[in-house]
Amino acid sequence: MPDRIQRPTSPAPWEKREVEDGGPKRPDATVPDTKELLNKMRRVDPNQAKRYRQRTGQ
Amino acid sequence: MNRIVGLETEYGCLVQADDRLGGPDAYPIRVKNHLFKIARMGAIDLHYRDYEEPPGNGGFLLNGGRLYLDMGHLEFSTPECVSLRDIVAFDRAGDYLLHETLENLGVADKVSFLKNNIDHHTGATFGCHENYSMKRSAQFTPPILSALLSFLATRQIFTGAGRVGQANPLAFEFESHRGQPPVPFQLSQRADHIVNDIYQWVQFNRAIINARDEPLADYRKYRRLHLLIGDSNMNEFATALKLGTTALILDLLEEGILPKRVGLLDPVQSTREISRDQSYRWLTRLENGQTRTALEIQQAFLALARHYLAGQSEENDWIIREWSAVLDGLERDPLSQIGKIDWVAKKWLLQTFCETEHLTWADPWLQSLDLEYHNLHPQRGLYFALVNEGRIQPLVSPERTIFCTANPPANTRAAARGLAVRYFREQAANYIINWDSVAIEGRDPLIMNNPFHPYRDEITQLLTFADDAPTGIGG
Repeated sequence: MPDRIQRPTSPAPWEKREVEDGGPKRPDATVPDTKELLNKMRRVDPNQAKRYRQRTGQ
Repeated sequence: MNRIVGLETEYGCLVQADDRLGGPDAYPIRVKNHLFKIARMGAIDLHYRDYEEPPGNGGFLLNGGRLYLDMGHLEFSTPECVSLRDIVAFDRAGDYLLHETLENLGVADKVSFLKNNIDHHTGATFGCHENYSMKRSAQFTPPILSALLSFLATRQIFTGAGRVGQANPLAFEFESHRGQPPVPFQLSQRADHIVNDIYQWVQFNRAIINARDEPLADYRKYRRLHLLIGDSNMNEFATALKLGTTALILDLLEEGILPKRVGLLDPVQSTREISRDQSYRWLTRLENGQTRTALEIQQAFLALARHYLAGQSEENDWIIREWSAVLDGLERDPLSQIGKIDWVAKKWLLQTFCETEHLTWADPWLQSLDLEYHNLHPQRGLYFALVNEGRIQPLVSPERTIFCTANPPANTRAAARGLAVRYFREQAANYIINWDSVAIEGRDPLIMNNPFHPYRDEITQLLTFADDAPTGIGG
């Protein structure tokens, strides 16, 4: 599991460019552990897929 | 991009067990009615568009897109866009509109829209169709079709939304894997449901490429390539890469520039085999009897794009750089692409959960978690949980998402359509709005057969409300 925030390798055309010289740089924040994520997943109703019966579409 | 691009997304509806107000058939209708009649986000159809689309079934929105009921699903079609910046934002705006309406109806705690393409129990599938304008002069010769099919069959390695298990592609065969080994997890939601390479139908016998010739524009100048194969992406980067790379490939094919040795022996079979390959080697069989991996085929297309299309625009260069980085990352370690590719993020979530809870891939809980990845509720959906933890970086800001719910792209004919919707919302008039025309009773209709033209002056003249025009006219 990568332990760093992932972002596109280069700025998207729609992204504001960060100033290259001087000024604060974006902090290299580490990703939190998985505890909260797993707790959220545990709260998902194990039976909801059985209820999710859709009409077929296109 | 050098072309108009649009997305049509059919949403699933999940209703909690204790709800007595209606099932998944009722809420799409309630949401549609609320959006048009209470929130007044659009102008509802006053006429039959088709035998399946009676008056009131849907309508066009202030943002120039369309919302309607299609085979029981609520479907949002983006307005026509010519930039990745716009198409990704308008796609997200559709998601926002649907979820916010559930909030406004006070039912968001028990009803959710899911932006996915399957259920796990009936074999149903519903689409995320892509539309690309093409030059009419471009001919779909066998070599061009073969190259396009090869690209589309293999791009799922970065466009797939991932799914638990498998489906039987034959209609009405609900037994998921009779006679086949079970598939724990596969790359694509749609791969199992695509049974043809090229065909004209959209509900059964679905094809990679839909053969319907309906340009919704001047048929002498334009085609509209309609693709059924794509998954609904939650990750905005994946949406951008899916649409951006496909648009670049069409640039090449329109000029007759084709990579060598990419034609697949059976694109439909390869689509399924790549999706189900648990080894991630993604080996394909070519027409010439050789084998090549999906990564090698994608690298061949990328090399041509880099050679012929790099340096033409900032957007082209972004697509080429990111495409290259993703292919390299997939080759090195697929898990490295967790922030960019939906199937990778979902696989990691489910794998982590299995290891922590000591579950096998056959546990039905995983099907429910698979669905929850696509839940548009920002506090419930697992995709949004990854965003909130910083593991995924959205490309569209919340402010721009909201802006795009009520404002059309400025540089396509959607601009005129948005103004017409705004007008008809306020005025009692008999109107007909189509993708390529606007008509008001008693006047000649405005034909908008050039999708790249915003038609601001023309629509203003038609509606004769220039004196008290709303913000945006002429802007």
